[in-house]
Amino acid sequence: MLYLVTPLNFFLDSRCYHKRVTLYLCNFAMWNHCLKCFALRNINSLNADIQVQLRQCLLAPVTMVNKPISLVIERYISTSQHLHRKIRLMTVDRDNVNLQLKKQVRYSEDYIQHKIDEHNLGVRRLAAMMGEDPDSFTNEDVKKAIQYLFPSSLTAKPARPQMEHPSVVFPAKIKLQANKEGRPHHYLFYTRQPALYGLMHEAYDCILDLHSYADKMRKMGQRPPKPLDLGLTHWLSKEDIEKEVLSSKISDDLYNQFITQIERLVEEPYSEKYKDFIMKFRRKLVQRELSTGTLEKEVGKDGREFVRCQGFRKTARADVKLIANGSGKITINGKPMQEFFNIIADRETVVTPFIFLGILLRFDVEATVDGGFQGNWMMLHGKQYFHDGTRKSAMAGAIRYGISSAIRLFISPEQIEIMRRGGLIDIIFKLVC
Amino acid sequence: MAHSLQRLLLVRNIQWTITKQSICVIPALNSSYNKTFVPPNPDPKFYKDDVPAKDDELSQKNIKPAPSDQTYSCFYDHELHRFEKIVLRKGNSVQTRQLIWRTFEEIKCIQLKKYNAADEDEKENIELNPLKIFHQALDNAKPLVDVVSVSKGGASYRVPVSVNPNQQLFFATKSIREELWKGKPKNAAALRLAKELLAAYNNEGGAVKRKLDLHKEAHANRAYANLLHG
Repeated sequence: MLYLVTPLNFFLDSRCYHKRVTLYLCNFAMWNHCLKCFALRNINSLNADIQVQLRQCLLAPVTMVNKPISLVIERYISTSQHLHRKIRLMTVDRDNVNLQLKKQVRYSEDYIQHKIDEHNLGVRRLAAMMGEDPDSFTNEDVKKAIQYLFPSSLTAKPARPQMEHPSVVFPAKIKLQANKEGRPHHYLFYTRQPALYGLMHEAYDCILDLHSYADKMRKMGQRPPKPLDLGLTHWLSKEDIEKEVLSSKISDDLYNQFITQIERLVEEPYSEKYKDFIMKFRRKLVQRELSTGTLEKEVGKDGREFVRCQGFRKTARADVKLIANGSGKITINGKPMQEFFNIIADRETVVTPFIFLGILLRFDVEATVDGGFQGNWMMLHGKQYFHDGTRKSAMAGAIRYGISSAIRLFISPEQIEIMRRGGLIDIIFKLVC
Repeated sequence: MAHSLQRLLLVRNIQWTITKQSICVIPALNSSYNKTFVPPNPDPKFYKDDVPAKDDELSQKNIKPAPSDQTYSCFYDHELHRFEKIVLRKGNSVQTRQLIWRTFEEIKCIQLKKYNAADEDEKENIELNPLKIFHQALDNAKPLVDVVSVSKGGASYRVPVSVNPNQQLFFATKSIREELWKGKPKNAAALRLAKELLAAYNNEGGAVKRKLDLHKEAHANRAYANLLHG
């Protein structure tokens, strides 16, 4: 289209001699001809320099018609307040931005690198001030120096003067997600979870592709193959996906939706085509090493081997000593087990690892135990009811864990695997008083 | 006192201290572990094999630790274990265990009296094992069908529905428990429980009556069975 950038009376105004003009000439020859006539008619009112240039452009051959004339205007035509404000904000100095808007602001990598260099310089200067070696000035020394130089009695610790590394203040993981003008890079930015929803859209595209593929094969008369065999793998948990695939946290509902979407992909026929995509979210169980760790066998005065170990349950702590080549004696805090534990259920818990493996009368146990409901602390500070010495189940659980972790040195690794399936290897993680 | 405490707990230069903050309350048992964790099988016959099978389902799963209730003894009984927990009061597991031992004693005494006073022909029919009486009594009190209220079109209907084995167990034990708690405390609890178990063994008493009332209601409302599939 024709762009007459200036108003019509520009040609007649003699004060505009210092300004430049653009005339975008279009494809239609009629319009060009009209423009040329109009300009030539009023050319005498313009300055001499402009007259010369205009004449050169207007009287040029036809091939020059589609290109703009080499004169450019230097003043804004529409000067609304909205536009001026936008332009001012785009060129704002980042240092003066209010840090309360930190959540909405995204910092570039160059900016963060600049701040890191400043920080390193400042640390060296601090060290020189305090009279110490700048090369060996650690983070803790920095904190102490600032507490010395700027003492404050404010109760809120984030309000006190601090000198932290900029990687803590400006998390660099949040990269710029938008242009200077504010247009985001990702097409799903406004869903707040662009990566996750992008994966779900990808899965749906794969499903549609498989539908059309299956239709083709059905016309040719082929039967669908067997369903996909994923092997001994399981889906990634919510926490794994937050770490590896995304950078932010998800709710449970979203996670369930995500997995139902991919399970739909798995159920489709011919889904082997997209097996690589599916196996990204599947993982084999890497078992922890069920090794003995730091436990060692020691030899006593009798010549019998023994192992020392610790046991925990609630707030009870036990030191257990398992002795081989024994006859099944169990002594706790100097007393035999039948005197220490009045309740039969507690005696059963102590003995479960032996019964589970069928090794009742081969070991001796010596243990010291304290803590829990009947421990010393509760007797002194806790309320005085049911402290008749019968409620010792936490102590029994502590001894059980000590025995089960010490027995692993006298056992083959296949039996350790059986113990893992019986649930005797982990500590019971229920802290309820 | 504190010094002796600390000496007791000093092992390999790791010092444990018990303070007020170390006793804390954490809510919701289920939130300690992820949903992918699997509880271990309490049946000791499951672990008979000396060599576990490789590439099994369990080899790829995380397993929860066994609670202190779980003893892998040969006397484990699933229905008895659940019965204990449903009859529990105020977390007093010691009392429930004593209750159960005494009820089995009472059942044995009652049945022995019958046995000694009976003729030789009838002696074969009298059951002396209290565990078998317990299981038979629960089976007689288990319902086959349950009734559920469904609202459709502004009206609420009672619809018959199938029952899980766990739900059956719970219904049977609950109906026996309600009868127990109705009785007077001056009579011993063990005697009361023993009489109710024997009554259920003979298809008498309140527990079996509750089941028959349910069956009647389901039979009366059998026309609405299609409102709920299953």
